[in-house]
This record gives sequence, structure tokens and C-alpha cells, in this order.
Amino acid sequence: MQSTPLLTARGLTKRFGATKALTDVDFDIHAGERVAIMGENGAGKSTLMKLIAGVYTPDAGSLTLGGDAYAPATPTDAIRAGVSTVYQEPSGFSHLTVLENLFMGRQTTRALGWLDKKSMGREAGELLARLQLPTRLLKRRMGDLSLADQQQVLIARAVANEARVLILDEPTSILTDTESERLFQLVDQLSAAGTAVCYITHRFDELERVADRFVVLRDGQNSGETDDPDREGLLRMMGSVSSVTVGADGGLVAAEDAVPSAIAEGEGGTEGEGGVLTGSGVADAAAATSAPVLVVDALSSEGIFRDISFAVRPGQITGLYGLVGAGRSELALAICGELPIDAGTIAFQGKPYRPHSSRTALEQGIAYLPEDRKTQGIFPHLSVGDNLSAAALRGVSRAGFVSTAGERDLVATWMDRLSIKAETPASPITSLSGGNQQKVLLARLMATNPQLLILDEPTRGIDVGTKREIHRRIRELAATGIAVLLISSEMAELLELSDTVHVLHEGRLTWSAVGSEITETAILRAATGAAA
Amino acid sequence: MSDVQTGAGAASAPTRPDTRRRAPERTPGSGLKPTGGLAGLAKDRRVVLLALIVVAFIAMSLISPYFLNTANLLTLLQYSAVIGVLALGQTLVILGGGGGIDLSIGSTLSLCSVTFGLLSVGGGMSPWLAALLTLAVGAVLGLINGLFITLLRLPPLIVTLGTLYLYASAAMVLSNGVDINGFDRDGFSTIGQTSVAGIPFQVLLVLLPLFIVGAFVMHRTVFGRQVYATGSNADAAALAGVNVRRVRISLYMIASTLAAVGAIVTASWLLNARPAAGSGFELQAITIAVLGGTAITGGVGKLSGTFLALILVAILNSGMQLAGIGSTYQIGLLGLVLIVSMLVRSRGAVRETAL
Repeated sequence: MQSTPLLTARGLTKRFGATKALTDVDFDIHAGERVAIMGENGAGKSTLMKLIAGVYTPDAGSLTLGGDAYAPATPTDAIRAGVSTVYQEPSGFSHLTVLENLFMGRQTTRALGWLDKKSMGREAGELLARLQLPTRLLKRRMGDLSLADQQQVLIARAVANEARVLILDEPTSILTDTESERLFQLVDQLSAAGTAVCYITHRFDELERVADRFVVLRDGQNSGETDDPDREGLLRMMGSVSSVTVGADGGLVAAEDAVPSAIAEGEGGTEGEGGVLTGSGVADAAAATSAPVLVVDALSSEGIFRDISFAVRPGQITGLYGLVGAGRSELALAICGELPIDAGTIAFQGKPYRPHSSRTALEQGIAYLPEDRKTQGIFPHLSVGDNLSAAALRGVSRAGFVSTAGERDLVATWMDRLSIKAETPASPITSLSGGNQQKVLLARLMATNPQLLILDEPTRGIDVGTKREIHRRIRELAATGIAVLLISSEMAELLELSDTVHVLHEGRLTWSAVGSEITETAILRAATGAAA
Repeated sequence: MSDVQTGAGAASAPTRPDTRRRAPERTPGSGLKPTGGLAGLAKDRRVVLLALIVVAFIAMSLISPYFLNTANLLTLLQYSAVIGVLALGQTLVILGGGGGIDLSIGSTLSLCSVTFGLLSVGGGMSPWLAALLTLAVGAVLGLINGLFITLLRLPPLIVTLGTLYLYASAAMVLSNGVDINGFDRDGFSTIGQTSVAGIPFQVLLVLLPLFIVGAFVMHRTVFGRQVYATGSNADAAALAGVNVRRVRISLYMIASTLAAVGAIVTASWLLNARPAAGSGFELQAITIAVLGGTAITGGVGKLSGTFLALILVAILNSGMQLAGIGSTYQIGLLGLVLIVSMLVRSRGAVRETAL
């Protein structure tokens, strides 16, 4: 761009102990510009943003804002100067109202410190109206809003704080596609009004929509930047792959595990890399006609989902799509016995099945990978090994006593099989990257020898490289005859992996399709209730 | 208004933790290097406690010539046995997470004392049968706590505060508020007054074995692992097939059964059952558990830490007594040690979970 940048960073360097997180990084952004910061996990994206937001202070290098030196010592300094950040998980005050959230730290007061609610309400109403957000939200408690609404309130708060630079850290990772679109419109509006928007994302699908320019970091250094949202070029800059082919459906397939395009298009790819290519037609036909391992018939749970019927077959990946609130995860939890069933039946391996808890589900051979790795998955205080073996301890113990050797073997086997990158099994689970943590959770389930694997958002918030690896593992697991029920809000993932897709809309199953009938448009129509 | 907020809100939280938080994350295994060996070692509470024990030991032997006397050291352990058994139970309850805490174990000990006295002195039962029944009563009292907490989802702090009063009151009612004396010296002195090779019975055959068995259970059994998993993340534990309720109920039952053990040991030692025998013990037990490195939020802690904390507290109390420092000062020092030990912790573990 021609004009002087609003914010510049020169030679930013940040060390954490022995590790250099950022080395000599330069960064510019102009008023009204939308810039995507890209890179694999650990490339330094978040560190760069946190230096700008005053969360960290740089070891070397300098920043300017609006032409003046800018050295925020705290996030409050940054916000005062006009740099606001909205983090991945909404971090508002959930017990307070939206109005109180908007004015936190800068309440309007009258004499004696009385809050001037009237004028605050008026000001907030004008603000929300200007951002085309519903003003009826003002009196609601923050915690009662959907994550998407909370996020928009926090963006509105940034606007209220007169943010000149707005940093969004993976804002769409918790949103459904329609909610994301609402967010994009808000961002468009702000950038049109002159706000500079820095946007961290792992999602290639939204790049063109959200950014004018792409800045790529790699191993804590500038790797390049471009105006061209071409995926291949960007991935090469990120160092993710040496050469890439882009699938017909828009999914990315690295050259080394690319399958012939005809198969990828037609079958959605049950085949793993170079393995088990027994002629797709034959393998698929066999899997499609084999007796289903799970049959759900007219299942209902009061007020959550109603009259749901579908089957999951061994060796196949059955996709389940729906917007947030459609009842996807709830359906999975009901199958695991963690949510009451009011009507309908489930048959598992040909026998009637009535789950009481995850424990009985696991014993029968149904394993569930929960949606939220942090709150439902990992044991944050325990080691990698303890996290991995947690569900399978009975298998390596006698009369309640755990066999040390048995457990060690179990952990070693699965760390090796899923190539989990950890220093030792005794390392704390929190020392692992998100992707490796997810692999530990997958290993935890696999160690129980499940017949049915329910994966709820298996690659949420995981970098591109690991995501592709997890996709390959899922295909491999299915190829061994395990039935996989894949819940995903990421269209590309669903299209790439699923043999069959079912779509939920407001608790009802609205659409099902097999193989080549699966299309993005049809899924979206069904998910939004457009299809009959 | 605004100046105050900047200083307090921002400076303390996000800027300082960055080095500490990231270092172990980025360099697993070599996490000790950046902060230096000493600081790394200090993250293990047991090392800190061991150092404090050595310092306290030397200081006390200098202050009082009587401290190093074998008889004194044994008495020191003998007095610690009962509170140690309670601290063991308290550690387990806290480890199980979900705000787990048992304020009622002191009253449980009192009620079990009275029960034991009534059964053996009043009922004329053999000491061993009376002991067995007392243990069962202890288990039931814990079951009541556990059921209120898990099935009715009431906060442990409130439930056990309630039963603290309930059980204390029951002990008073059953005993009419007076001590039960008249324990048959021959029958009971086996439990309370014998010693093997100079080491008192309650240390050699109660305290040490319970800690050893406890440590083994916590690390080598499915149950022990389930306790850590439940304490670390109860939702994840449930999804991994752990029966979280059953684990937590078991922990309350273990804690109260251990309080019954304490009651039996005390009564047999003093040949007397007091209706307020355990009054105040619950807070001492919590203090020792937390001092030993058990995170009050659950999932983190080791029985070896609790044991070391017990020794430290015993040395401090006994040493100060010998030095003629009154108990009014003793409890003050204990409070100080507790808070300082928390400072050591917050520089390490707590920061890692701050963001």
C-alpha cells in the first residue's frame, strides 16, 4: 500500500527461556486494511499478536502506532492506545449484562459515583445499532448468549474503546458457517470505517473473504506475504508441504497422500495413503452392504432432538453435519449414555442397546471423542501416559492392580502407532501441541478396542499439517473395519472424509446422502432448513 | 479511578507469567534449565519440605537440648499418628476435586470415640469387635457426606460443615457430654500403648502402613488413577469411563473410616473416650494436606508430601513447646508457614494454569 502504515513493527524478537518464539519480525498494517496472519502452530502468530496487544513485551525491536512510538506494557495500555484483541474463546464477564460488559472499566458516572445507566444505555444502543447488532441483547446476561453473540459483543466493546487496530484470534473456530458470515460482515463494516483488522486463522476457506493481504510466519520469522489467496503458494510459504494438489471439492490433499482424483471425488476417500487400494468399487460396495454396527431408530430426547434414525456401518465414515444447536453433539452424548433418551431404540452389533453412561458405552465398544479437548478431554495435571491409558486401565490390570509393564507397553504402542510427538510418556500433557494432545485422546479411545468411534470435531483448532495427518489416521482406522461417526462443522473435512452424510437441523434429521450425492450446497440447504 | 485499575488489573497478571508459562511448554523435559536448577527443584513441594524439616530439626536441637532425645522424638511421632491418619484421608478427599473437602472428620472422630466407648465400656464388647463396629460407623458417616455431595450435588464445604455440627452434637448427646472412662486396661493397651523395638504401636502398625498402602493404592491401582483423573477433570473422567460419583463417595468413606481409626487409637492410648476428642482436628488435617502440596482444586498432590508436612508440623510444635514458646505462638507460626508455602507454589504450578 502507498500511504503510511497505521501500525508498524520492526525487528520484533521474543524469547521464552531457551526458545526463540519470534526472531526479527517486521509487520505493517494500514488503516482499513484486513490482514491475515498465517503459519503452522508454533510459527509465532500468537506471539506477534500478543506483543502488539501488550500481553508480552518484546526482547528487541520496536512498534509504532499512528506514526508515534508505541510500547504497551500491559493490555490496558494497548486498549487505551487503540489496539483491542478478541480472543478465540469469548472472555467477557458472563454473569454481567451485555450493557455492563460494554462499559466495563469506563462506566459513565454521575455525582458520588452513581452509575448513569440511562446515558450508558443510550450510548450502547446507538453503538449496537450502528454495528447492526440487535439492541435487545443489552439487558441479557452475557453468559446466556451464544458464543457467536458473545464474540460480537466483545467486538462491539473494542469499537466502544475506539479501537484503531482490532486483532481477532481464530474467531471462527467456535462458530458455524452462518455465524461466521455474520462476523465477516461486521469485520467488513469496521474496516470500511477505517479500523485495521489483524486476523489469525487456520481456515483456508475463509481467507479470500476476510483478508486483503496474507502475512506468513514460519519458525518465528517472516516467511513472506502476498495479496494472492492461492492456497498452494501460501502453504508453501508456511512450509507445510513441499508440493500440493488442490482437490476438486476444494479440499487440500498433500502430494504424498493424494489419491487418484476420480476416487477422491467419487468416494470421499475411504482409502488411506497408498494402502488398501483394493479397487474402490469393490471395497466400498462391501462396506456399504455389510450389516450396520449401530442402528438408531426414531430416537428422541425431550427438547433436544426428535425422531432421528440412521445407521453406521463398519469400515465406513458416516458424517454428521449441523449448525450449532442442531443437536449433533447431544445425539452423540445420548448414544454414549450421557444424555437421557425419551423415545426410540438403539441397536448395537445387532442387539438392543441401552446405554447408562460412558462407562457402559466403552465396555460395549462405543468410544466418544468429545468436542472440547480442554474441558472434556485432557486431564491437565497428568502425564501423556496417564492421559493415554485412562480409559483402558482395566485391560492392563488384575484385580484392580495396574501392571506397570502392561501399561508401559500400551502407551508405547499407541504413541508409536499414532506417532505422538512427546519427549517421554511422563511429560505433562500440557507440554504437547493441540494436535498431539488430540492424538493422545484418539489413542485413549483406540486402546479400548472400540467397534464404533464417534469423533466430535476431531480437528478443531489444529494446524493444517496435523489436521491432514489426523484425517489420514481416521481413514486408516475405518479401513481396519471400525465404524466411524464423524461430527464436523467444517465442510471441507466432512466432504473429504465421509462415505455417507446425515444433516441435522434444529433437532431433526433433514437430509442424508451417499457418495457422489454429497454436495456442499445440498448439505448447507439441509442444515439451514431450506431442504424439505 | 483509572490509575488504580491499570496498576492492579494488568501489571500483575499477563506480563509476568510469560517466561514461566512458556518455557516448560516449548522445551518439555528441559523445563528446569531456563529458571535454573534450584527454582526447578523448588517446584516439587517435597524437596521444599525436606529442606524445611532439616532446617527446623537443626534449629530445634540448638534451641533445646531435650529435642534430640529419642524419647522426645518418639512422643513427637506418637502425637502425630492420629492427626497424620486424618491428614491422609483429607488429602484423598481434596485430590478427588470438585471442591472436595471434609470439615466433618474431627466430629467424626469424636462420634466414633463415643461409639467405641459405649460399645466396649458400656456394652462390654471385646475391644476388637468394638473397633470393627466403630470402623463401620465411621464408614457410614462418610457415606452420608458422600451421598449429599454427589447425589444431591451440594457443595462439599457446606455439607461437611453441616455434618461437623451434626456429628459433634450426636457425640455429645450419646455421651451426655461426659468422658467415658473405665476401659479395660489389659484389653486396650495392646492397641494404644504397646511398642515394638521402642516404636509406638500407632506409628509402626497404623500410621506408616496406612501411608505406604495409601501411596501404593494411589499410584498402582485403577482406583488411584481414577481419583487423579476425577480430580484433574471430572467431565473428561466420566467420558473416559470413570464412575465419578462412586470415586468421590469412596473418598469420603475412606476419610471418615480413617477418622474412626484415629478414634480407636486415641481412646486405647488414653483409656478414655471424650465427646469432643476430635474437635479442631479437621483444620489441622487440611493444613497438613495443603502444606504437603495438595492443590485445593484437586488432581495434584502426593501422600509422600502429606507425610513430610506432618513431620514438619510435628517438629515445629514439639520444638517450640520444649523451647517454652506457648501454643498461642505455635498456631501463628503454623499459619505463617502455610501461607509462605503457598507463595512457593504460586511461583510455579499456579502460573501455568493462569491463562
